[in-house]
Amino acid sequence: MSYFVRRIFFSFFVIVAVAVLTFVIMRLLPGDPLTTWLGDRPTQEQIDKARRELGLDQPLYVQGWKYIGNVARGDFGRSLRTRRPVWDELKEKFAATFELTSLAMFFCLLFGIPVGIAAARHPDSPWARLEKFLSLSGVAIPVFWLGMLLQILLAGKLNWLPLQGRGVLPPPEHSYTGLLLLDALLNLEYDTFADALQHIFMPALALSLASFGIITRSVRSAMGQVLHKEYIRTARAFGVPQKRILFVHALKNALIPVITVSGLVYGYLLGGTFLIERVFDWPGLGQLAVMSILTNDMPVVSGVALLYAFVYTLINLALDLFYLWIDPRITKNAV
Amino acid sequence: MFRNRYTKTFYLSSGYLLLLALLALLAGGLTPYPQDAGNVMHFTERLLPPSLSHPFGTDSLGRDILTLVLFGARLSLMAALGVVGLALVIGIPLGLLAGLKGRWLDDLIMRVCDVFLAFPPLLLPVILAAALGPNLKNAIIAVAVSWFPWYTRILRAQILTVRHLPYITAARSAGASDIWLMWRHILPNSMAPVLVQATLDMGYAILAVAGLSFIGFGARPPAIEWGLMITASRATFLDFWWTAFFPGLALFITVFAFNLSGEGLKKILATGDES
Repeated sequence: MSYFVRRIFFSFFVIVAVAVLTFVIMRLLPGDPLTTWLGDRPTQEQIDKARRELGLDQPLYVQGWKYIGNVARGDFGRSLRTRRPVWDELKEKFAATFELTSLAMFFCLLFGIPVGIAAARHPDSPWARLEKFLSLSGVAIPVFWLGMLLQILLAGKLNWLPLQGRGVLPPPEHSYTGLLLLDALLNLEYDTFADALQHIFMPALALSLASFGIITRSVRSAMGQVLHKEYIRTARAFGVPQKRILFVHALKNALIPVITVSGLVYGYLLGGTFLIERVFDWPGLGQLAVMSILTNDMPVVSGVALLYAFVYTLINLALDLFYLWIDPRITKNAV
Repeated sequence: MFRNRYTKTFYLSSGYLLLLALLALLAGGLTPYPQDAGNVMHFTERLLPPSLSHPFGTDSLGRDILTLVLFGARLSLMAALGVVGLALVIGIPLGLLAGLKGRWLDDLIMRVCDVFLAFPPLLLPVILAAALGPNLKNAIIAVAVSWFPWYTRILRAQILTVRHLPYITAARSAGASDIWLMWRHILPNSMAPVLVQATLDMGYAILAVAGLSFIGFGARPPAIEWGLMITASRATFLDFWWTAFFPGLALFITVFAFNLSGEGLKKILATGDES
């Protein structure tokens, strides 16, 4: 158990360190955050007042210390640009990014697992070659370019899908989750659902195509190893149907590496949406981060970094717990 | 001719990269439109589709895209070398310190690495690039700074395995000094995985820098860089696909080639097959 206490303590340390690092770098940004807060040509009086109010007249370490204290109490400050609480901005934008990456991850697994299994079963088949090509090329493709190619094809030439944005219809009446697809369904607003689905499809597809290869590769190699195990041969000898062997006996045991990789890919997707959000004008965290950095909106940038670090750490922690749950043998070595 | 297919892919992909480097260097002499690399505008030649005289078409300023792609290769290749080189320069000494000195220094360095790696892929480079001022040089520095912990980690892990091997003990008992051990025995025998990783990373470095340029934190006009060319095509690409297609294709193939040669190098080193 002490292993997990150490893990959690360390995760906490990483998150605080990320916050401090972001804070320090943001203070080094050229330009004065006060111009973002006050707009053009404020009077000297206004400047002095705002500087005092925002605590910018205090030494850096005092500011940093105060910031950490506030965050610990759940106060992320206010955006200098929109003057809204940072937490509200984060919540809203995170939901958009979360929705996008989750759908992308779903596509990845939906197509990645079967292709990986097929490639593992028949190492010389076209499937295996497809898998090999995808796993090598997928990571090499510039995701923003892939997104633009999809736009040319699906929006420009074929006119099947909208070019960009998250939806044109007004948002669902009650927002339960912040996830547009889910909220639309819960409100029984099917038109909104269809609209949201049309808008999210292309960016999610672009994101998933770029990460697809990593998933198939891990499925292929894990399944490849498992399929040579003796218990699989035994199952075959006993006449267990092929499908059952593959999807029940083999897949279950190949899952550990696959889930690890999926967790990492998911974290990567969450953090890698800067580019795809720009291409598809998706109102998510990546766009928020870029906009806030450009306008010197320090509280928001610190908030974004903190949120990302938190989610990353959470994913890693969840993966560790998952290993323990799925394979109790691991504990002894870990401690 | 080739002993196995790994060496074949390795030679093919490195061959492509060398060719690209050569073409990029000689771009000015090879293309019939060397002046297009400057800030020019040809009104009558705007947005021409691919043809014999302009194989990749022309952009919204009437410049030959093939010429721009070749010139753009300069910055992208330089970015790859710059990022990986700088990351190695930071990462290797830290890895050495962590692996050889151990104790609290090891702990400290590794925790610092963990913090850098806890940032999502592009956030730290974007913040750093913004803080340093958006241009290509700073984008390279920004990516390298968020990248070095990988090399520190790999080198440290490698040193920890190497330093207890019998030949190190033998050398030590023969009276070799610490510095001598480090330079002559431990470092050379720990570097292979780091260098393989560095080759593999060149492609990702190009992608990261192009990505930064794409969202406006990297190369700035009038520099010619592939990511920037794709950004510039945003106004035209829906009707004139070639303005986005060819710079992106060049980016894709080049990153792909770096990955293939990295993979090939890994396999060759692992099997000891060099021919």
